[in-house]
Amino acid sequence: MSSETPKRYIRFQKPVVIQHYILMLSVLGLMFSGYMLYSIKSAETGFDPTDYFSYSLWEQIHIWFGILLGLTILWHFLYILFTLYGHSDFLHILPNKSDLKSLIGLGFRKSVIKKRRFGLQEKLTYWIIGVYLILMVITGLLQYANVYTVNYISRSLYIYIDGFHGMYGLLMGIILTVWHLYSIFLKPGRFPGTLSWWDGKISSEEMNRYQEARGEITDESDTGTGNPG
Amino acid sequence: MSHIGKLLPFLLLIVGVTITYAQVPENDNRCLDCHSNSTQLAALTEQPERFHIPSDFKDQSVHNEINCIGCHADPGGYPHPEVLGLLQCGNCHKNESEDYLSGPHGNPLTVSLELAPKCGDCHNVHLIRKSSNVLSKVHVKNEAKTCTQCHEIKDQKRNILNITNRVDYDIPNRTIKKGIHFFNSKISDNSNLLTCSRCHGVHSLSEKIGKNWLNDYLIEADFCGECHTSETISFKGNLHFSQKISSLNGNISLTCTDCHQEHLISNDKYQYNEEKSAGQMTGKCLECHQSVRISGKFAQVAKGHSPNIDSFHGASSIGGDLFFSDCSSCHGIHELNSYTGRDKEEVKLDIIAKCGTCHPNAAANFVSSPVHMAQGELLDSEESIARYIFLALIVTMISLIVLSIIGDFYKLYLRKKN
Ligand code: HEM
Ligand code: HEM
Repeated sequence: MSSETPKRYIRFQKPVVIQHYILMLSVLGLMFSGYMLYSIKSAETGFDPTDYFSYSLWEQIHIWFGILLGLTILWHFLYILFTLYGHSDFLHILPNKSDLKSLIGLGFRKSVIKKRRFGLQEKLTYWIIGVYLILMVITGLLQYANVYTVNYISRSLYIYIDGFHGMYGLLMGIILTVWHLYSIFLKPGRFPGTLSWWDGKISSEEMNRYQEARGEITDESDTGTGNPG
Repeated sequence: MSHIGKLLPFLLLIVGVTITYAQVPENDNRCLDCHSNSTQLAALTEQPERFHIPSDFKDQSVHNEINCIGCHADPGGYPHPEVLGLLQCGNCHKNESEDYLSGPHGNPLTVSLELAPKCGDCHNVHLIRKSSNVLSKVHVKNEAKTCTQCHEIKDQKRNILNITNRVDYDIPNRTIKKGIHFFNSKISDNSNLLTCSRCHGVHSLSEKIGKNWLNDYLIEADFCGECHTSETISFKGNLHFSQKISSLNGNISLTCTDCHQEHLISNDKYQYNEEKSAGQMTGKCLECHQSVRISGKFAQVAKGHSPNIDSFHGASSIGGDLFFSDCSSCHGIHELNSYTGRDKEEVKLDIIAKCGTCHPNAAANFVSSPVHMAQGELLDSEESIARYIFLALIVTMISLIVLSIIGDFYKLYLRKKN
């Protein structure tokens, strides 16, 4: 390898990269088709998607993307539970004491913590988006099966499920995605972005840049879990 | 060839002409000599077309037994007197004439004599054919075209707008022909085609539903009921029919054409086309039921007043789904189910059963949701609480993100400073 192209180390295993690809595809598909479903019912958006497909076809499209998302989440669960890398990554992304430390002074003071694989920002992204997606899948499925579910759950609960999954859910999704893209590409320390989503690899320069921005230092006696590779 | 042989064609011609002329009464030949001859007429009068009569008109006319002076006063020789007495059709056709004079077409009180349609406008003047003759203007197949001579507003002088000022009397021919009654092959054998006169009557235009329908909506229902028996029986038990609806026009009820239209009668609900007519039934009901007064009276008070648009059912039917539910799914069509004023528990069971026809698992919780929803309708308290919570969540999310972004750049600034 020439000295100009720095060596790139594996940051995410193949399954994680593939899971992320499917995530991108299904979430974008769900947002689009969800917006169409919303437009059919609401005059606010000012156009009528049934000019292109019938209501049930839009619903079918939405559901199939939803199933794709659901299956990916299931795969991710199995992956973190039963594979070595998955399990280890999951332990790394669990919040721990070092996150509290990094929060001291809201991060404005330099916190003396060891280099880590994931900083607070990454952990938050993972957990917030994860919880959001799981909620979307559950509320989506309950909506899909509404005819059965309304027999068993109260009307109040259904109002929250229905309300969460609709336009508000979509808005939250958009906000989270924009935030995610900002913190991957634009945030100080991240700019001008990374290709790790493409092949799961990053260079040591990138990793150091992340860690420095997070205010992490290397303990001389420890190479740090954050070391690439 | 002999001389006789050479003369034979001429002889035959003479015999033929003699026989033909012999059949027409003598007088008529005299009249037709001039009146069937356009050139001669043109020399004699300024209105040759008006006085032109085809020489063979009698072959097809029902009046072939009557000669010219049977209807026209004898003009004597030529030149004729200025005004020739005309024997009125009513002299022989007494009943028809009386009917005509009593109805809107002939009553001088309703229509000026100059513009009024006269016998000849529908029957022709000379070439009067039997109504069973397909060429007759009053044959069922041609009737619509005959009536629309005036009733379709084109730029003709005698259009219905000039005569009556009533725009609603403008009935284009193509509209009638699009209607299901005109096209339905089951009833389109010539005898049974439902065309103008079947509903409006013929001369007095009042035999059937043309008559005072405003006061007597029964006439229309009974008339349609002649064929649509079961629908009419159900409909007569229907609140729309039995309970007179008070309106500015006085007390009227809904009757068949209020939903089905009059001339363009079609079976909307099952016509799935690009116009998304699946939603039309709902639209029809909404014409009246979005009125605050009507919906207030019929117990939709609790939830706004325009039913069904924003609900799943409304969306799927308006969105063109083939399997959908609309007003009629719960309320019925001709045999309207009224839920107003009934025992609450009984209504609940009834509605659960109705939901159950499409949703076999429907149970008690089904009826706890509002049934009718509308765009922009006020939410009930629980729904608005949910909405506020989600809005608050979103606002919080955005604020935190903005703060964190500001923080990120402030940290960058601090790092650069050190
Ligand atoms: C990021 C993920 C998702 C987003 C952004 C999203 C967005 C939406 C939106 C905007 C609507 C329209 C709600 C309305 O009409 O007010 C909707 C409806 C719906 N979604 Fe999703 N959705 C997502 C995931 C899912 C999943 C995973 C499923 C199921 C497996 C699902 C099933 C449904 C169903 C059944 C409806 C109701 C359709 C209807 O009203 O007829 N959604 N979604
Ligand atoms: C559309 C373009 C997207 C790009 C370019 C992108 C890129 C990335 C990258 C580079 C990472 C690794 C971050 C790191 O190195 O720590 C990542 C992680 C992640 N992405 Fe995406 N992503 C995209 C869309 C999405 C979407 C739509 C979702 C789900 C809503 C999503 C959910 C996640 C999650 C949960 C993680 C793990 C948390 C983390 O490591 O920060 N991504 N993404």
